Formats: sequence, structure tokens, C-alpha cells
Amino acid sequence: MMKHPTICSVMILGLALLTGLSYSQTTRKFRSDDPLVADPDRLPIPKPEPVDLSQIYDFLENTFAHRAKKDQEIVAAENVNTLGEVPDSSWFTNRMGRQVMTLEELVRGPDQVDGPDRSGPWLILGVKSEGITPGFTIRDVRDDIYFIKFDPVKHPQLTTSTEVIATKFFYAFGYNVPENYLSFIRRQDLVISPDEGHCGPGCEIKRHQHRRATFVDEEGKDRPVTHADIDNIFQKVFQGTDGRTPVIASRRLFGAPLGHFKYYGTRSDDPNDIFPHENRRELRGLRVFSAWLNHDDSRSINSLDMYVGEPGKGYVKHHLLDFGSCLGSGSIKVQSRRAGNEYMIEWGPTLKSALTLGIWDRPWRHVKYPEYPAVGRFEGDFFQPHLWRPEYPNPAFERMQMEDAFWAARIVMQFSDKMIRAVVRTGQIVDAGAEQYVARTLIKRRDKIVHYYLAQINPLDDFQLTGVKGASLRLEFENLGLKAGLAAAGTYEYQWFRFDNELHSLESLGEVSSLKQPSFPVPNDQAAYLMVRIRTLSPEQPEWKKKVEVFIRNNSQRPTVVGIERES
Amino acid sequence: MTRNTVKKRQRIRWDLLRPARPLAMILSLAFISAPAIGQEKPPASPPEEEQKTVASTTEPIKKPQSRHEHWRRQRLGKMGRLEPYQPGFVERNLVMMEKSERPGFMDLNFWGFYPRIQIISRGSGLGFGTRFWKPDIKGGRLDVHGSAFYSTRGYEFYDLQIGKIPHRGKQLPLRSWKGDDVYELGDIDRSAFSRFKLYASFRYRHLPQEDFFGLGPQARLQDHSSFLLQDASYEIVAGYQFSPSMALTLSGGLLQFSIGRGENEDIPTTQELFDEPTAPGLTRQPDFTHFTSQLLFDFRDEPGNPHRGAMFAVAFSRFDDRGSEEFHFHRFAFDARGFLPLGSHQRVLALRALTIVDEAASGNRVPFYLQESLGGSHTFRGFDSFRFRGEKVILFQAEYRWEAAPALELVLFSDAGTVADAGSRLELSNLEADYGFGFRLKTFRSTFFRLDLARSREITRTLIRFSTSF
Repeated sequence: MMKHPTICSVMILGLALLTGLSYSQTTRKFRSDDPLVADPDRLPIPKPEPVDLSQIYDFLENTFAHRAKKDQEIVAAENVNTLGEVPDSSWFTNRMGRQVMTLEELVRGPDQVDGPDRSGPWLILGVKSEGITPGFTIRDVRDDIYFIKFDPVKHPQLTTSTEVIATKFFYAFGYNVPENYLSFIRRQDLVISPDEGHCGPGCEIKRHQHRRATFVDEEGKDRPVTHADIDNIFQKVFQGTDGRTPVIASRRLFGAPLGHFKYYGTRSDDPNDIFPHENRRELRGLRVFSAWLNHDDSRSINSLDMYVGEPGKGYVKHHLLDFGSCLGSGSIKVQSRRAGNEYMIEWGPTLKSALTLGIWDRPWRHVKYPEYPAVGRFEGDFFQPHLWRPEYPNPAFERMQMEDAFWAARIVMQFSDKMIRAVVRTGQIVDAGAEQYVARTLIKRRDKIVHYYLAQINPLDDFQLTGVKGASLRLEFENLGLKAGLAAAGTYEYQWFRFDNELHSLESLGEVSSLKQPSFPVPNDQAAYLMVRIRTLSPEQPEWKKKVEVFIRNNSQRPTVVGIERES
Repeated sequence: MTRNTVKKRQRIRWDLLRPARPLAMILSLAFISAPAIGQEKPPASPPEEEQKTVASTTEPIKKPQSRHEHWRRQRLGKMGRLEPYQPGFVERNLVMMEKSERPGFMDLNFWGFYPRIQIISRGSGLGFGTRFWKPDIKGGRLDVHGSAFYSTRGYEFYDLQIGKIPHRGKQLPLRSWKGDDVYELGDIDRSAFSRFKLYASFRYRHLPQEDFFGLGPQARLQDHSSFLLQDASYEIVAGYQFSPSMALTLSGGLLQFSIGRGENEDIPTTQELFDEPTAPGLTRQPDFTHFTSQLLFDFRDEPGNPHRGAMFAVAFSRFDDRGSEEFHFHRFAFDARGFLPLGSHQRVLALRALTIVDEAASGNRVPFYLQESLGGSHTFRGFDSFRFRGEKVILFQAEYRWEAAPALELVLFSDAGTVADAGSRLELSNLEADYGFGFRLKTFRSTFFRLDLARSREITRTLIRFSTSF
């Protein structure tokens, strides 16, 4: 009795599709290898073509096109594991985030050697006379290649110490950074031909192979470097009274350069790059780290992708570099007052000033800075972490959500006063007062970051299971807010659920309970997954009432914490 | 459509579907076993090794159980869609510029010729042309600069300088467009590498629509006339910069002038409205020898974008006509500019006082075309260019400048001044005045765009310029 066989077939097909779709949506929340510790983003790929990005275009695009706000919905970070952590990847390696580094590790940072070899002359391979910072590319007698940068004439140690200190911090956070060494040179240590001095092992071959460095002059013409060009650069930079000029020697990164990465989208020629950069937690959280160190120059142009490995078998590794514009340094001068406080173009304050005939004044113009030439403009009293800004909008920073900020603040919190002082000492600032000031300011800014972000979210962390399943199994954790002194005490409301990993459904295992101690008994239940929803009650911190949901994989004799979700 | 009808249409005839149940089950099962849409796509085109693996198996692609595999499959899927980054036209050209493969916009030149758009003189309209610049020839001892411009209103400008010209690196030397500025004071390049300058200069101008309203403060708007001015100068210029805040410049040479009928057809020619007594030099233009010395004291924090400090300039000139005893005179000029921050670097009160006094020898006069004037984008902004001419000039300017943003400056301004004719005194009680509002775009070092809206008792003017007011 099929009167309308065609209609029926279509309906059947539709039903099947619906069934299929609904089934496909019920993907398992937790997969067998969750939580993932390392992102397998190093699949061998062919070497991509180098990319040249324009810094002017980057500024215009992010200021006016405002990439960050183009999509209405801001999704949660995509490259995190089920605990909300960033797995190790070609972008990031958990260092301070996973365990507290030792002082030795912190001070050593990314350094693999002890800087350029000073037992012989440095052969100049290239000269950069213009741009933000003048400098050289040199090869030392060990055949290592370094990029050399200087201090501004009136501010000895400003750029060099800043670069070293910031590099150690960014390495400790987990980013890939270059080895930046503080070194000293004399003018006569620089040669433009191997014939001018000892050039190490295989010297004859080097002499034969060496092509004299060229130099793009002010007319844009490429011509061989002369000693006059070098003298000219030395006139523009700070030189010590003893003839020794402090420099930053940045060791060439391993691999083949592929250009900068953007803070949005993915590299279309890198199959390993599947998470839009604006949705990477380590790039969103970079805003917090940059705020701490006042790295206002955190933009595409200060990043570098390298192809690491044999051709066809390598992968793209992503680096941050050029930390000359951090702390109180603006690379070639002291940091501007605006740095960290306002974008280069920001309509709100501009209109406010225009409409009030300039009577309304930007508060940051009146901030007092100490008179330390080696420090520049860096302070911690006026600083407010959530209001800090880079030079112009950064799509990843703009999309930072509270979970991203919490992740970063948790890492910042790991730095003790002692660690901060140790890292600051690596800058070898001669003026002891200046060095102490930098450390004090970093401590002050760290505390502000921790206090602000840990007050915006329920700051429970470090969840661990202790005891034996079926008898004394307990879930223990730490309240980072209490540890940071944001409140005297807290009460924890919690409720247990069975969790269905296929259907994502919950089934209550009892009423809401509360405890003063951060340790709950785990119910003796045979469900494969359990979930506990926790709220912290503290009159001093109302935001701590936001829920934290902790998932436990319960299908073995050794249950494990497999997921953490936070309400933000 | 009734409610019943709707219900009927919505109701599914399950009895009709009964024979098709097996088909539905098969389809459903097939769909369930397929990878989920949008989540675990099979690789579109896996790499070679993967293709072999995929091709060699007949098993259906299973949903990845691990996150590791899930992400890996996404990456393999992308492997078949790789494409290099393609910057757009703007970005591509900016990159080339930044990498010096192409010079910056302002450095764009063809064998030393720099295309430019500039104002030749007050009222000239936009001038199109080129500057020529070859610095540091023969080991830095010789520089050559020249320019040629033609404007929308038929103005022409040609000049050539050879010698040691103040400049910084390969950058084009600063210049003062005589005729646009009231006086060439305050234009010494403090950033020049060399302290010493010595060069020969030649200049020729053809200005076919110069405005003339008469001499003295009583000059009437309805006497607006136009004349043709052609002039040439042959000079030697020498100078020395004693310190960043003090410089001395000496110049001397020959000046030639020719006056003709103005080409502005909307107004009468000067010859029609004026004669030799009311416009001295109208019928005969002798050559002049001249000598000028000027001393500059500059304490501004940033000369092109000052926020505090002051500048004082004083100049003395002597003009002697050749072949007659009618137009011998000397000129004294004083220009003072002060910049006071008002409680903040963001707010600046800029003040200027300028006076120029010509003293003709006994029985002599100052040719009208050499008398200084007020009116135009740098002096009396609410009046026509050259509105007031006289042997004596005094001008006061005040600007309240506030930076709404670091690169954006807004300005409230007012100008007041007057002129005096031969034998008269400057009447400070009878100053003309204007006021207005300005908008400037600037860098840390200089203003590169200025839009001033000015109003006086006579007219309202909109001025667009590419330099600061003072």
C-alpha cells in the first residue's frame, strides 16, 4: 500500500540522517589518552615557503580591521587538554607550568653555551644600520652565528639587561625563545674579512668561501660593508668608558627561517597548524605574561617560525623573539609613557580628550618613574593587569578569556621573590639600586596579576586523588586564592554526579554538601566517570562561587582526575 | 488554511512507511558507521605513506578513540589543502618597502629626482614637480639640490643650489618657501650632520596671480587686484651652527624683478586700480643687491613639534637698488615663539610675536612687491593671502594645542596684527583679528597635515597645509 514511495524514501533518508547526526554529536567527552600531555603537532611536512609579513600592514590590519572582533562568538581555547592545560607542542613547552623550576634552571634559561667565543675576532656577516635597533650579524671563531644589538647612547644597559631578563622569563613561561647572551666587545674585535685576524679552525677554507658582508645604505643600495659603516654604528650606541661595549648576542635559531606567524588564523602551508592562533591558550595567555613584563611589542613581527629537521622530515617550530621593548626599555630609548597603557590609536580616550578640549588628561601621563638610566620607565603602582595593552590590538589577546588568564596567572604565581631576584641578576645591572628596583617592581606587578585574576574565577587547582578506591578515596586540591592571601578562609560546597561519557549526561549521587577543608571523600560508585561540582564560599571573594567541575575516570583500580572545567 | 488541515499535513502516515523499515535500518546503520560530520573527517589527501596505508586496507575508517589520533587526522586532512601564504596587493608592497626592495614613499626617486606636490607660494594652488638631490658628491664636500614646479594656477618655480648644503644623511634638505613663510626665520636644520654651510643659490619664480589690496591697514577688500611677479635671485649663503641652539646665517646677492598684469580674470589688475604713488615700484623694477644676516636661538624641545621651550630669531637685511636712488632700504625682523605646557605635555599654549620693520633711506621707498604682508596660512589665517601689506608689520599669534592622541592635535587659535604704511606708526590699538579651529596630524618630529578653519570679519577660510603654522 505504498501510495507515495518517493516521499517515503526521502523521509526515511532524512530520519536516517537525523539519527546519524545526533549520534555523531555524542562524541566521547574524554578519550582514551586524555588528558593529553603533548600535542602531536610535529608530523613530518615538506618545508613551507618563508613568509614576509609587513609590520605596517599588521598594525593597520589589527587597528582598523580589528581581526579579533570580526567573529561575534569567542570560543574557548582549542588547543588545551581536558585539564585546561596547554600540552607541550611546537609552540610551547611546559616548564614553570608543570613543576617549579630550580633557580639554576631559571638562571640558565634557554642558554646552551656561554655566549659568543671572545677568544678571537668576530667576523661581520651583515650590518643593520637603520630600523629600531642598529646591529650586526657576526660569526665567532666557533662558527656560531649571532645577531648583535646595543644599548642606546644615553641609557647604558637599558636594552641589553632587559633583553636578557625578559628572555629568561619567557623561556620559563614555556615559549620557544632564542639564546640571548650579555656580552662585551671592543670595536677592534669586529672584522669584516677573515684576513684581518684569527678565524678559527678551517680558516683557509673560510677565507676562500667568505663573501664580504653587504650593507643596505640609506639610498637602499646594497654595497660592501666598510669600517666606516661600523664606526658609524658605534657612534649611535652606548660605549663603555673602558672601551668595552655591552651588547646582546642573540644566537641564531636552529633551523631554516620561515618568517613571522600571525596572531590569528593558521599557517595555510603547515598541516600541523590546525588551531587558529587566536584560539591558542598560550597565545591568549601571553597577554598576562606580557603585561607582567610590559612587553608592549608583543606582535607578529617579533615572532619567528623555523623549519626544524631534514627537508621533508621536519616541522615548523614557533618562536617569540626580540624582547628589547620590555620592562622600562623601548629598544632604542626608554619606554614611552603610553606603552602598556593605551594603543597607538584608541578612539575612546581620543574622543574624550577632543570633546573636553584637552582638559581631561590621560592619567598615565602623570605617572612618576624613578631616575634609573638602566631601568627606563617601569613601575608597579599605576599598573593594572586587566587594563594593560600592547602597542596595538592583538587578536589572541583580545580573545583572552578568564580561563586563559587563570592558566597564565597560575604560572606567574609560581615565581617566588627569590626567583625573580635571581632572574633580574642575570641582567648584570651595575647600579644595585636599579637592579633592586626592577625586582621589586616585578614582584609588585606579579602580586597584582595574581590578585586580580585569581579573584575573577574559582581558583581551585592541583586536584589529586589519594587513598584507595572503595574505601578511603579522597579528592584533594588547593585553593590558590587562599595561598595568595586573597581571603582568610573558604567553605567548599560540592555535589557528586555520575557522568556518562557518551551522552554527556549527569546523574546526581546525593545532595550538596559542604566542607571547610579542601579534601572530599569520593563516593564508592561503579560508574565509569564521576564528576564533582565545587563552589567556594568566601565573603571576601564573591566570584569564587563560580563552579569548578572535576571529572574522575573511575573505571580502574587507580582512578584519575581526567578533566577540569571552570565557569568564568 | 484551517488548523485541521495543518494537523493532517503534519501527521506522518506510519503505515505507509512499514514496507520501508528494513531500508531505513540499513541506511541508519550505514550512516552511524560513517565518520561523524565535521569532527572526524578522513584525510582529504593524506601524504604518500598515509595513502599507502589507507589504500591497502579494506576496513572502514574508524572513529579515533584517542585525542592524539583525533588531532593527527585533522592534520592529515589539512595536508591535502596546503597552499602558500598569499599577501594582498597592499601588504605585498608594504613588505617590499620595509625590506628596502622599494624605497619608502617619501624616498621614492628616479636618478635623484624626487616627485613632489607642494605649495609654491601663497595662493598658488597645488604645485606639481620634482626636486633633484645629489648629496655628498666628491666625498661629501659637494651637494647639489634643485627643483622645478608648476602649479594648478600657472605658477612656476625653479631653483638650484650647489655647495655644502645642510642636510642629514641622504634626506632632502629642509627648505623655506619664501613667499609662503612670512620670513625665513627658524628654519635652520638643527639635526644636520655638518655645522657649516656654504652654497651658491639660484632661484626663478613666475607668479602670475599675486594678490594686492593696497598698502597700509586701510587697504580695502574691494580693491583686490592681481599682478604678475617674476623674480630671480643669485645668492651666496654661508652659515655656522655654534651649538644645537644657536646658528648664524649670512647671505647676499643679486635680486631681479619684473611686474606685469595679473592673470586672475575674476579681479582687476593692479595696474588698473593702483599707480606708482599708491604702489611704489609698479612701473619700474630695478635690480637689487642685498645682504642679510640672521641669528637664531632655538630652545624648543623638538623644533618641528614643540611642547616646551622658546625660539628667538633676529635678522637684519639691506637692499640697494642698482641704477637709481629710489628704493634703498634696510629691514629689521624679530620673531619670538614660546611654547608653554599647561600642566601636562598634552596641552600646550603656543605664542608668537613677529615684527618686521623696513626703513627706507631718505627720499626712498620700499617697492610694494618687497613689502612684507599679513594674510595666509601662516599669519592671518582668517584673511586672504597678502591681505595687508606695509613697511611695518606686527603679528601676535596664540594657539591652544591639545593632543587628543599622540598623532592627532587639535587647536584653538587666534591671530591679531596690523601693518603700517610709510611714515606711519604701528597702531596696536587697532589690530585686526581672526580666530579658528585646527586639526593636525603629526609625528613625534613634525606636523605633516594641517587643516585650519579660520574666521575673520571679512571671510571664513579652510586651509589645508602640510606644515605647522609656527
